[in-house]
Amino acid sequence: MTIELYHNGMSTCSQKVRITLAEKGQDFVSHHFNLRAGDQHKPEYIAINPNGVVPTIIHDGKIVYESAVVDEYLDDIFPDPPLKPADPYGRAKMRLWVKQLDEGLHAASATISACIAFRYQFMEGKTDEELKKTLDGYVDPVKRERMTENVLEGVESRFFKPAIRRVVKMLDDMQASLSETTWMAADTYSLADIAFAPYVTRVAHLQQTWLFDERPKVADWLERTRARASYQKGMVEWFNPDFLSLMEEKGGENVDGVKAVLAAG
Amino acid sequence: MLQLYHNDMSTCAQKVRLTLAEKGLDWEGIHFNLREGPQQRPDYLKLNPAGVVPTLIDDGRVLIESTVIMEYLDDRFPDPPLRPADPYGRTRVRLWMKQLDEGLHAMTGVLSSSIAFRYQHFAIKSEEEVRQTIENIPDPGKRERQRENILKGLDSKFLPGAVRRFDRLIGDIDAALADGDWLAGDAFSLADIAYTPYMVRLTYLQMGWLWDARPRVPEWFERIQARPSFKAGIGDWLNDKYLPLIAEKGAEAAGKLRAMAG
Repeated sequence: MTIELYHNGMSTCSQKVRITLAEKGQDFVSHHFNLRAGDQHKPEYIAINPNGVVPTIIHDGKIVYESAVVDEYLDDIFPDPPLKPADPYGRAKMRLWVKQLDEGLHAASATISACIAFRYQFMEGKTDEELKKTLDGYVDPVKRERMTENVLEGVESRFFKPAIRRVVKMLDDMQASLSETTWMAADTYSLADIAFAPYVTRVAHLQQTWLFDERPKVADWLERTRARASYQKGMVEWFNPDFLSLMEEKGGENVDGVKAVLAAG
Repeated sequence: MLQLYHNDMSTCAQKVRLTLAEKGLDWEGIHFNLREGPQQRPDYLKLNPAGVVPTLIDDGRVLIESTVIMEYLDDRFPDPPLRPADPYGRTRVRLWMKQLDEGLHAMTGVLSSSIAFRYQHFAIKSEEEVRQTIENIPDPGKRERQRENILKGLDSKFLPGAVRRFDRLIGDIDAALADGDWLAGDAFSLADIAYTPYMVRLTYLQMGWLWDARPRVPEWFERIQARPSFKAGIGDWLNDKYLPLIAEKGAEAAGKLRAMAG
């Protein structure tokens, strides 16, 4: 049975689902969206995914969206190899990690990415009118307000400081957890590790690897995560070189700025 | 024996008590009066770093966050099942529960505080003390919300968005019930449990007008209230000190709230 995937190469939520598909050895029919051109806001896609975001999968005629929900679905329909801890307590720890992404951590990662680097893509070659039209296309009003300020104001956006602090807290929490178990939720690799791989990778792409220096368990986890074939297949093969070079350039320019924001207390 | 740190009127505690009742599990309760702040004590913060209820202790294992605890209980005590057996049905349960984490739960706090609970603060504290309490809230987002909700009440800038979000939610519930008796299909599930406390809260806030034109919603709520778990998880724990205030202030606000829904 074919799996169709609506996704984007650099979207963190698409990355989670592609890693899971790779871990399960499942191929898919790709519908790759250009998010900067607003493919995800077109009416025919909104009819499939009312939130106007990627990813969405269609499997056996069933439409499933929201990456955390898709990943659990894939683990339910393709149980081998299992990506949930076998015991209920381990599963609860896994879900506690994944849930944090819905509660603001995903938004915090999007904010630091936009403020440091992606804002330049939004602005490039657009008139003020065109830029406004793109930003007004966000379906969710809260996201629309946040993205508008992040694109226009960069690291001066009032959303930046709480966002970078939230990302640092993520790394602290991971350091503590990985001091107790081999992987994030248990001694076995799970959907929690998959869910966080894109966000820790993003910190690295934005050139903030200095944050790993005092968190060696996180650095070690990232190395082990990167060594898996699923990381190559779900993440690396879909990296957009233009995005990587922009994040490298703008991230490098902002290392001292980020350090200053965090030191300001 | 399972131990539960909880509070009588907390929506998240209600969800877990409903789940425990549906499973027919015995538990020992440690009840917190949240206005006195025991949830901020260091020994409790070791169990629950966010300083919120509920927390469940199962044989020394500490579980936090109501939606995570609900799935845990269903994994640990599978009978009777509270999630559909088929993977697609499970996605529907999870989509419902996830929306609570994504802001709906926080918006319930906006409604309750700006319409009613703000008066509890002013009844026992001076305005200066109320302001100080708000400034002590550790989470900056919650602090900003409470500053608006408690100090400005119905003029809180967060209130119109919250009212519109609940109007959309009730519309979504009505649409889902066109496909079956319960939120995730033909069987009662964790999704129904997860939304019960919010239906109760909206009812007490006199916001039943949200489902005036959506008859499937009150019919579903009737079915929920007819289950024995409703009495055990919610009815037996309703706090008479809160209810008249919520009802009175809710009735006073009804006209303004309806106008906000548009």
